[in-house]
Amino acid sequence: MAGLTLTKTDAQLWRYRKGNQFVNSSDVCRRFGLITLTACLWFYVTGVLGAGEESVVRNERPLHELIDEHIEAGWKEDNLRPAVLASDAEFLRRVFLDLTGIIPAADIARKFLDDDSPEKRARLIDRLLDSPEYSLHMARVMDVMLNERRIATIRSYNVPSSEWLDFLTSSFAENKPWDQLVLEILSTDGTDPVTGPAARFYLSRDVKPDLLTRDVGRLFLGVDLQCAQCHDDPRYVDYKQADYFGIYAFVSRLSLFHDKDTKQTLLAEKAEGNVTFTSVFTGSKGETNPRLPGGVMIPDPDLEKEQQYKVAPASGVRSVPGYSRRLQLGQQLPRRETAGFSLNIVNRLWAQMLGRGLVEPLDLRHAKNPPSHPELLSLLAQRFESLDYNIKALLRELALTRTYQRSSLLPENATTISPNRFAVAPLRALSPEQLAWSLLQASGRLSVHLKEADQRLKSEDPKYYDILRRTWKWNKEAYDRFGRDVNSVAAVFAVMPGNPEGAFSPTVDQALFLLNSDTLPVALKPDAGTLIDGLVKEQSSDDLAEVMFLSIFSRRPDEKEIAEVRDHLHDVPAEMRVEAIRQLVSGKLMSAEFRLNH
Amino acid sequence: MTIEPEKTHLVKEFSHDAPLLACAFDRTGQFVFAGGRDRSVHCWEIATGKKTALDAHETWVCALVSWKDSLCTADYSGRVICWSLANGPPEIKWTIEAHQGTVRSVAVSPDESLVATGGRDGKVRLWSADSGQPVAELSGHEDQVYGVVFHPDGRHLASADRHSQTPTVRIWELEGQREKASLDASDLSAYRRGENVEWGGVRDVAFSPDGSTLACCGRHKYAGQATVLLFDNHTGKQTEKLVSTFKAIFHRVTFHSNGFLIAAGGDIKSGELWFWNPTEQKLMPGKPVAADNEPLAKIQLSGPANFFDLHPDGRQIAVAHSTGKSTYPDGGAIGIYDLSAATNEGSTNSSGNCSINETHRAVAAAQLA
Amino acid sequence: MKRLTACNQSEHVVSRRSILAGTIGALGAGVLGQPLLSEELHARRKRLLILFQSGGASQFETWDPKPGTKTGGPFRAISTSLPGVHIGELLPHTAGIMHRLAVVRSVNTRIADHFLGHYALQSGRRVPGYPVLGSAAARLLEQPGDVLPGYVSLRRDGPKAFTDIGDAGFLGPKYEAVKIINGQPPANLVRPAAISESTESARDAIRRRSDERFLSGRSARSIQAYGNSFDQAAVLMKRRDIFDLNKEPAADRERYGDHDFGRHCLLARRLLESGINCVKVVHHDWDAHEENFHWHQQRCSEFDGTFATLINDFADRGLLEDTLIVVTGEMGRTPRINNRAGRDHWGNAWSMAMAGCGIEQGVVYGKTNEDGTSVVDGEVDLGHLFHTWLTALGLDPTGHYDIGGGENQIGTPAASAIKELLA
Repeated sequence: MAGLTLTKTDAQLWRYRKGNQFVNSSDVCRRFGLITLTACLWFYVTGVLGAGEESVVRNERPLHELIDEHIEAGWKEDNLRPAVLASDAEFLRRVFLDLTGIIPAADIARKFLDDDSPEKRARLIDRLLDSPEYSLHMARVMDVMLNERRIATIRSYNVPSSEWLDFLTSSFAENKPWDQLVLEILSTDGTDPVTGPAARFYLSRDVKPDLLTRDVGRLFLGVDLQCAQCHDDPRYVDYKQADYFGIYAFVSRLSLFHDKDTKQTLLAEKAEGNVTFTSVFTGSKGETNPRLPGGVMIPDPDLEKEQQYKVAPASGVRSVPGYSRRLQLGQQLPRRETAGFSLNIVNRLWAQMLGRGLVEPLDLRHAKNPPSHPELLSLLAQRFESLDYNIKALLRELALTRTYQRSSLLPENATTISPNRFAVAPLRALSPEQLAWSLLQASGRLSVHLKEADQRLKSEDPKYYDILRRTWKWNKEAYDRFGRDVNSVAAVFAVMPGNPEGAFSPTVDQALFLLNSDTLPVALKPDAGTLIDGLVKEQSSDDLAEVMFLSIFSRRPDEKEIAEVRDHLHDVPAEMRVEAIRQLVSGKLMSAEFRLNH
Repeated sequence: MTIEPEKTHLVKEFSHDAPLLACAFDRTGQFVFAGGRDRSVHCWEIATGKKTALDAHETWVCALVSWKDSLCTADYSGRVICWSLANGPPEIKWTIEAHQGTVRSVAVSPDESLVATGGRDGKVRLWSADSGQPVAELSGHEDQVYGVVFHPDGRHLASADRHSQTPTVRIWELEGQREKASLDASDLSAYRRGENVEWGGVRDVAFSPDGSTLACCGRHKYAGQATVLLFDNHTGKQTEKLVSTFKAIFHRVTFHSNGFLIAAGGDIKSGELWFWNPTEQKLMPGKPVAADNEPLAKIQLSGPANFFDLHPDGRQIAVAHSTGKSTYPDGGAIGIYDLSAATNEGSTNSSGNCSINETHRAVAAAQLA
Repeated sequence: MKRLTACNQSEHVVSRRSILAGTIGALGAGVLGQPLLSEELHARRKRLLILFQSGGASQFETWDPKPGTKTGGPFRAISTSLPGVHIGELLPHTAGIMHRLAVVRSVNTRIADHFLGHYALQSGRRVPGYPVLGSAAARLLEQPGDVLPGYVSLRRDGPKAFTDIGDAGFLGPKYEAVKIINGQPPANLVRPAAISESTESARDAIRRRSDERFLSGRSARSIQAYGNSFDQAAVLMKRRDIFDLNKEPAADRERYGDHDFGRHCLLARRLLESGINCVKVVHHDWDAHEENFHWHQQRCSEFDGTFATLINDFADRGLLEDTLIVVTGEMGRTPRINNRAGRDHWGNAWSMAMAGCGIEQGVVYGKTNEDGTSVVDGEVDLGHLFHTWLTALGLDPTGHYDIGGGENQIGTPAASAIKELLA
């Protein structure tokens, strides 16, 4: 069901609120009336078109059923016994992490576990997809995926990180289709007031054509052509030097332009410059116009001399060509017809939910590295195209599958199951951001702050509270209060800039960080409303154990675990009680069960 | 002919196929010697332009000083050679290995009995001018010694270094062979933390004719302007900081016998000569006292200046230049500049046309170290 | 597909028992004060030490002097312990140990850029994403039971340090260098005062119990890897004195020199003897675009004394034959002297040196022409050097990393080791 998303109007409302621009109530009512009308129109339009609805073509089987069919095909013949379906607790924690990037707060967890309605999982999926936290999370995920934590060589010659994240967050809040998002990212030269921040993709790479060529291939088409820069790739027969330079030709005329007066950094582009290449292996030469892999060459139009430039190059001037190859890239690449475009994104979204792609690594699709389930991958691509690249819709289908909802407990007597069978849920690392946010959540600090911010909003703006409370802007600002803390924790767990996330590889410095830095001690200070504070106040150790486990692990403790808590706190002198509780909590926060998504 | 620094102009130029690093007139003023990026000491007869070479060094000659009938040349390997100019072609009088590593500066005492050298090893050493025998070693500098000069009274010596962030000028008492004072020249530091490199430091040092003022030169701060610092020799306190508008390093500073300061330096394509009048007493006849930093004159040279020497008559200077492609200069030149409006090239020998009194001339001659 | 090959010569196969005796096994019995490494392990493990001259040292002022030429600069050449071989006069101590070194004078990488140079010289490749030598060697040299980090790099912080790009690439975070910056030990090695010993052990027990329960019925690898990182942390906390230079004798600290490079080299010796397999020391500020001769006098005098001391020390302490020592910058410097008496970036004909494990002693390989403007004999590129270093360590550069259905050869397939440099 299409959520009531009010992106542009969000912003307007926000400006009104922040800028105190309520002139008079009738003024407001008039504007608000307009907003409501727009909202209703929006609702109507999306409802009619069914964007966000799977059942566009009503005689098609739901995608999630087809997915399970493909995955489970062949299990019987291979005598492969899958894991059972995940328990409520497993599912709860996993889906919160995958769709919002944070574990649930204890009370939410309890509510879900105690709810006995049969459709609760599907309802939870929808609720999470609809939540502002979804947009915040997807913005972070996409930032990491697209920029890989790169920092421009001159740090300030870039779009500020906050503007870029705002752009992404609002894109996900309005459920912008993937092809539209890619178009905006690849087309922008940084000048447009709305899509300008998308230039961060270019600027984080210093607008260097080699870096851009490689990453456009990797991130938007699922192919890593870097070795094809100097020759046809000797390892992968499908990666040709001509393909590399075909992409290169789209970006080779670009350069970084820093405006000293406005301090903005933008893209400049020339109207001339052709791309030739020579193979260092064979010596054979080539020349190419822009061309996407598997596609046709795009010739430059013949322009009169005066039309070649809208703004001619000069010292201190940002050149704008009459015909922009960059714009061509933005228009040509994100289309169904472009080889790899749909396959790449569905593979990545699959990996986000299921822990590994149908093609692994995500950027190395080639003849000798076929998908584990080729037909399924094609099906996903086709369906995603027919859904007009609706990311929420696809994630919803993935979350509804049995495949997604398997337990990580191996079936009895199974030693190991090959991960590309998807017969058991994998153990994945929490991303650095998921870990940092979940620590805040588990310690109760996040709730304390959100509650305060919520109450403040209620008292300051009772009339529009309901609407504002759900805007991505209000939520981002509320969560950003912890932005710096999260970033510094995440930095310890992040891979080096320019590298994809990769497999779980815990390092000794990360363990030392958790053990000896002040991160956990600060998080576990018994301030009012926090986890430790709440636990200290619990009279019975059984209740204490339940709150602790719900907060940290999003589940209830078993008998043994309750006994462990009881024993640990038994006969502890009053002045040592806080310390004893903290020992339990910090020990568990450092456990694999917390560190992993399972 | 009145000396008018603002009228300084080039009268002759002798070119060479390698950059020239240092130069000195002989005391008759007929010849100019130079060392540069090859192994020879080059000699030009000024009147005729005839060029000869003295080959005895194994590497670049980077410092020279002359006194009556003698010339001392020093090189990058630490070797110092003293030549006799008494009869015809120069002959080697003595050769010493004065320092471990580059000899950055040589000076001769006013009475011409001692030669002082300062080098890469941070030492200042004194040698007998006649025999080259070691006389004394003065230790204390913590970095390469870049400038040595005798005090006009002949009993003291000043030397300067490029110590990182805190370069110093040391005043030495020759009789006791001890350090009398250490002057803080940090205003000439051009330290850059990002590279942990001291790009500045003191490059040269000079005494005023009456010995009351000490000048040292370099540049102030990284990528800053060429600068001269003045110290009161009695109190050891810095009295002036003369910052030019020339973004470069002053490699050489000296006092003219008339009392004004000359400093020269170079950057990528250009070289400049700056003249200041720092003290009230030594007024140029008819010239007002200069305001702070206000130079008497600044003159564009034909190229970056690495060094200069004053002619015995005080009316001309020889500047050692790098020439050629501005990024990779591969040639050199000696530029002879006249410090007056005179255009008569033939009067380089004469001393009578300048308004310098005899005492000053003697001091100037002694000062040309 | 070939497996990743580590040392598999018989003398490098160490019994698991003796490994444990040297590391975890000994923990229980009063670790503080244990000898740095048991002798048996000493003799068997290969190690790597990289001395990186960041900024690019001038080959004219170091390994390949051209006195008396237009390009040669003012410094003379001096004879060395290798008859007929001369190096720059700014390296007198190094000249005395030339018989232990192999010097290559014919490097032509055509790279004149700090960033690419740092990456390419360390990874053996121009294409990004490959692991640098320290990370690759850490991966290939590691043995079961290793608990200390495989690769430690010592440098300063500061603006110019950021040109030192290059990391473990696709080998992942485990093989990233543990960075010692400005001589400071890695962060968080000491239990904070606010956490008592009893709390430390209590929460560790709680963590372990939780993991034990979680492990039951689940795939073990990730859970165990995570638990191992805490075990490693405990070891490193107990062994943190390996980062403490004050534990080395004052006389040694003096011999190595009272400057960063000297201190870092001594710390490198300590780390290698403590069981770290790969160490890199960065010697900063060779980028002499101005006053090249003045600055090489400073830098070379730092380098010369320390390097000769280090080589002699390693020989005396029995480390030299098992430690590969690589001395290189990211490029050389131009033959032409610029208008500020400096030399600029130059990748077409320059030099580097190496010594130790697997390297032939007393070799000068390759030649440049009279004024040092081009290589005339024995030209080598990134790949040749990388192959040589791996081979010297007893590793196989023609082995493969297996990534995504493709074989990525460890050393670039376009090159092979320089036989004349190998012992």
